[in-house]
Amino acid sequence: MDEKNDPHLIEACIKKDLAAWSILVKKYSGLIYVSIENRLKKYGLDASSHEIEDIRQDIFSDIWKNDKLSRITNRDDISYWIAILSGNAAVEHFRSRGARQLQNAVPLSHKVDAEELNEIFSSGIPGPDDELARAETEEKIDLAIESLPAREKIMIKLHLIHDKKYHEIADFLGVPKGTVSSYIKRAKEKLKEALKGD
Amino acid sequence: MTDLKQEIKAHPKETELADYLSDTLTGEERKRIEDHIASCNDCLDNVVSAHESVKKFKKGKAGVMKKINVYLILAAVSFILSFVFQGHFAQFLTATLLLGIKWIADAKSTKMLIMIYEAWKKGGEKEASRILSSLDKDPKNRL
Repeated sequence: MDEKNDPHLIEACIKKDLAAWSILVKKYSGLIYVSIENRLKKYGLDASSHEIEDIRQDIFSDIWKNDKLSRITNRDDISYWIAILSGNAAVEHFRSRGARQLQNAVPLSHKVDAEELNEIFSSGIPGPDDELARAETEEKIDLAIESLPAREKIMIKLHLIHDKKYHEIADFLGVPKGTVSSYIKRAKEKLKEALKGD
Repeated sequence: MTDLKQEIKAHPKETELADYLSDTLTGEERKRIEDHIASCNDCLDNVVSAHESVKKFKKGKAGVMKKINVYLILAAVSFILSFVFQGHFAQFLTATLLLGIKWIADAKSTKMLIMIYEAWKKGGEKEASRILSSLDKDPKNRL
């Protein structure tokens, strides 16, 4: 079963063909598991394998009962759709259970790496002992990042927050590595400028 | 920050985010998604996470397939050797059998399939309505 077989497989699954469903389950069980685990890790949550299996079962049940496959626009390769659906289901699973840790938690990835920041803004970041000044500076950085144009903003967030290397960002956005490098350089200059003004 | 968060428009559908990652959107649609994920950390998290997972899975699957095929090759080699070294025929045949069982067990996630079918039979309706009601609370998850 390679990706090319997906349109036929999905068509059969929509018609609730059990044999097709067994192929679908076999084909995507691993991806769903990895996607749940990966998304939860970003919130600093380490779910047990038993819990991940429960969520995975809910996902298949949800796809089956709500005919979600019939709404897919791109049937050639549903891997990304499966991964996105699984990530959302994982977050929702914890939210619906009223998990305190998720309601209160800011995803770990939303916190810009302090070391990286100090490197960029060598004079602008107060140390951990001065919490108030540090919080203020971080808010200014957040605002400065948010004021960047969309592409620059995505690249700088992927680089600083998601800790992605230039070639990984290029792969994600489908642009040459050189483009990423120049966009990030420009974005960093703008951030420095925005912080200097305060 | 609160103001900025309030400005974020409705989250794109899961199918749209998937199409963004598959690069099957028109230029205009792509820009709309990029404008959104640039400001919405949840959606950016989601697409980055999905992109990583698919990559990791495809890479891992290639590795797993190699491992599974190694068992099959070893079983075949052991089977041939059982005829070559006839003095150790039984030992090689046992090894063939064990490697063959390992190959079958790894290649088929039988346990997983049985578990899911059982769950559908037992509590599928109840589970689906519970999931539906939780989905209704968050428009982000509607398709």
